Amino acid sequence: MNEIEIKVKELVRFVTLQGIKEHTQNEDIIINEVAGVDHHQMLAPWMGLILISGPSIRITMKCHYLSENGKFFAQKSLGKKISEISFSQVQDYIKEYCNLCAGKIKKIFADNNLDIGISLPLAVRGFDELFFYDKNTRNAPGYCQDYWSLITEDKFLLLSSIIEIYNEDDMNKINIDFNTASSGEIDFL
Amino acid sequence: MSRINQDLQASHKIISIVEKSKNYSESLIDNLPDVFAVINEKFEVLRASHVMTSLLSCSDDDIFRQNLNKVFRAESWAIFLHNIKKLKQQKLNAIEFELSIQHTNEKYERPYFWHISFFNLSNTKEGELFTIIGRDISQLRDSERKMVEVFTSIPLALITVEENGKIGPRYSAYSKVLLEKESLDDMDFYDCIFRPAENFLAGIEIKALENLKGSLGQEELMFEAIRNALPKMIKINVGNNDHGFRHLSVTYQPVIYEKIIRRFLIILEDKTELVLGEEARQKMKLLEDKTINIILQIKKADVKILSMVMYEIDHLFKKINNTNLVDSSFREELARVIHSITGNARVLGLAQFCEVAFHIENKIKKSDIYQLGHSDLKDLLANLTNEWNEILSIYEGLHKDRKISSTSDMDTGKSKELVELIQKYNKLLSEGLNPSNILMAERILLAIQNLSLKSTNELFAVAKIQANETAKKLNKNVAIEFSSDEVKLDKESYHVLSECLLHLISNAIDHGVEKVEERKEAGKPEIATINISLEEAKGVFYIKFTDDGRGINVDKVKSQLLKKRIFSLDKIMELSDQEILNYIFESEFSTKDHADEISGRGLALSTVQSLVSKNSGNIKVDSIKGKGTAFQFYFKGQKNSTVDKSFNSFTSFMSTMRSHFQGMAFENKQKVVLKDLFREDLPPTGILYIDAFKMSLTVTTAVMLHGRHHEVVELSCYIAGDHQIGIDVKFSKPRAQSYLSAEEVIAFQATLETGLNYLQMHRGQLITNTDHLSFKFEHLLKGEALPAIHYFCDEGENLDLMAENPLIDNLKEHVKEFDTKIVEVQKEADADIVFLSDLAAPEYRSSKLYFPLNMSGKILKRELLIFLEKTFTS
Repeated sequence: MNEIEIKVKELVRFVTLQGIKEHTQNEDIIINEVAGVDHHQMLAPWMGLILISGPSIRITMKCHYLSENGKFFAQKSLGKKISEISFSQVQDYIKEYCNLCAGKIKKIFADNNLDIGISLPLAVRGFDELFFYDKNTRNAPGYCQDYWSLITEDKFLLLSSIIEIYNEDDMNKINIDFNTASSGEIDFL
Repeated sequence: MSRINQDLQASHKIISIVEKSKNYSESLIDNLPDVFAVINEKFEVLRASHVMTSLLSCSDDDIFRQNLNKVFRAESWAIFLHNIKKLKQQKLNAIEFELSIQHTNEKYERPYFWHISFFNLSNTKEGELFTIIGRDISQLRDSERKMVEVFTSIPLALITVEENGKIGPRYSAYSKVLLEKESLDDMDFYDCIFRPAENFLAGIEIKALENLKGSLGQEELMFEAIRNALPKMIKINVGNNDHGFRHLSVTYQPVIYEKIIRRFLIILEDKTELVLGEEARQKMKLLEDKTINIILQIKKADVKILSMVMYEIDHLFKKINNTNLVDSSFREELARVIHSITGNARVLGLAQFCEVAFHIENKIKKSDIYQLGHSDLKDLLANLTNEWNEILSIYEGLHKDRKISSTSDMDTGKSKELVELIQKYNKLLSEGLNPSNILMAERILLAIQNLSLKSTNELFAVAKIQANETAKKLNKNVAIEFSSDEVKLDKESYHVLSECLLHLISNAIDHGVEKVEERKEAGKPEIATINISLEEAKGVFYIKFTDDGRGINVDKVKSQLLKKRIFSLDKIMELSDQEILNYIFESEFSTKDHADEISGRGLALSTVQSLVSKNSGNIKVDSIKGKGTAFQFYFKGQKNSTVDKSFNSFTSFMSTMRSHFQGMAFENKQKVVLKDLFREDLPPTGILYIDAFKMSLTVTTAVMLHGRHHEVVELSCYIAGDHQIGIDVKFSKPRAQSYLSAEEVIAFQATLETGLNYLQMHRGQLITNTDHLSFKFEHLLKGEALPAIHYFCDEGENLDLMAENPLIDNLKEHVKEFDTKIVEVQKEADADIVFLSDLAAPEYRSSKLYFPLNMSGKILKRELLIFLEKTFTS
């Protein structure tokens, strides 16, 4: 992994951590490394994903989760007890979380004059992870993937990112300000 | 808005729609009714339906990476793995198999049908992926099991017939049992089911079955058109049951898709026992109806003649049983006997039995009788005998006191009486006969003799009823008259006469007597008359049978003779009318073209002739056209059959009378005075052609009865006219007491009644007054009435024997006693009696009596009487 890839990877991690901390108002959530996983491996029963894409870079961010874990992280934002939260509310929460994270990343890139857009967040089956394999892309230069978990107590969200850098020159020009990435509100679409 | 943002906006829209669609698809997968899962090569569940998650008792979260082996027990899992291996190794598209799994909280495993295929998503970290679909087929198997139970255990043949007319693979196991086939697969349904039954199917049913095959693939109306003609019951021969055949009920059910008959369901049910039961029931009912009919017929029959006719028929059956079926000469006699049986049965109104007998008569008529095999004839006769035995047993059940089938011709009442009489007689014999009991003994003997005889009154009663029955049947009016006094007949003579009259009456009424209209036109009385007269003389019966019918049509007889080719026309022209008439006695000759139960078989008159001939008789016929017909016939009765006549010397008769009077005097404690010829010193001469002790018993019984209240009895005997004996009896000194008990008086009265009949046979009479009896009777034979005795004496070389032979003196004495003539002749050829010196015992040679010269005079007297009787009666 080169410098810019590392930088983007750190950015995505940071954004997701900050985002979850803000939503849950829980500063105890930490990042854990996840080893021994690969793309096209089902990581959890459920998955939220969002695409951040531009001419210079594409980032696919996914949040792999168990519904019970999802409920745990959603309860603060929804102001409900875990038992009162339905699965569709969890899905919505995860989607919004992904959207939040993607939005932050987009702002940072936009502030660096990088033309970038984000997709709608999707809440899908974890099984759909198996369909993301692309042999050509996988082996293309500028392709890297990252896996980490956000954990507190025994609850966690497993996150993954696939970073595809199309224009290193453009990416080298970016100045990533982690402070900018740290603020934001959650709102449901 | 930048281009990227515009593109993103557009993408967002599509993503939103696709997301909804995908969610819906996911929901469909989740809610699949089957077990659905996608597993990796480690058999970890990556995606599953709710059915799968409930099978593993997990939530959607928990099923993630659960191992599929948790669904199976170890052995089943091995099978599952084996199949996946097979799928991989053989590079199949998919593999399917059945494997059971156990649901939580269930006792038994459920059968599942598994479909495993590759989930073609290569190059994933998960390795090879498989789609697993498992269908719970427990209900299907349950339904199959129930169907199998139905198809294997139900005792019905359920057979499907496919559109090509062949039996489909789906048929019940019992079908093979019912139809006795190893397999029904692919057989033509007609060949399999109906060909074995073809012999029992009607033509219309076979045709309907052909049309049934033709209706396959046609509209359902085709079936409706033939439905009623299809056989509902079939009978097939089988080897696997007790009866050797089966009755099967057949039901047809077309299977119709879109108004077209695609196949048939044929259902066969074994109804053998039911059918046999019903047949047996019907048979029993017929038997019961038959029995009831017989009972009704017997009850309807005239009580007076019932037992007589029953006895007559039974007697005829004995004739059949006693003869040899193989003997051809017997067969003609058989036909006559059965004809007689039919006639008698008709008199009693035994219609069903008549039919059977008539049917057998048809079979054994002369033209066919020699073609009839021995065993066929035996069967026919056995059939008739069985029918008769049935009637007999019913009759004897209804009339317990009148057994026909015993060997005696008496009813049980008479048999009982006979036994008692014999017992009484034996008791007297054991006590020793003496003057006091000899009268009783002889009275008993007389009673025994009379018990065995039958009266013509009985016979005429039967004949009258027979005539009425026959006339009724033929719609004619007939009156039958009998101009004859009562005659007592021995058993055999009774049968002969009974049969003859039976046939003559049927014949006369059927052929001779005209219908009422015809008689009116002829100026005759509406009621035809049949007259029967009977006389008896010297043991021979003379019968005249006349009717005032239309007479015998000689021309018709001639034409029948021509028709039957008995004579040619020329021959017939040569014969006189009387000669022509005599041919009516030929066997199977009838002027009727067709036989019925009454006549037409040509057996009646031939039977009469046969019977009469067998009994040393003959028959002739006279007929005047329009006036009537007369049959005259005679036959000889059994010896001593009627009048029990025997030759007795007048003196021995007197001696018998005297000893009876002695006994009477002793029994009755009376004084008996004998006068005139009763006196011992006045020996009368001549021969009495009577039964001495019977006549004596008659006289003494009458005297004892009428004189029991008198002390003194005077008896005198005299000769009245040439042939008559007179006995006068006077009673005097009345007394209050009688020495006869009430039972004895009754017994004596019965004896006297019999005695008076005997008296009448000898043209006798008895006149009674308070104190006086007068007897008269015949037959006294004297002098010219008796044959002269010509004797020759061959003393051989002993010339002295002649001169002083006491036997010759005895002969002269006896002849004097008998009041007959005696003539010595010089040649043996001219003699009636030949005395020989070298003879051991008397013997008859060519109606001459040969007598030993050295024999006693007593024996000579006895033989002389016998000789005289023979000569007198021949």
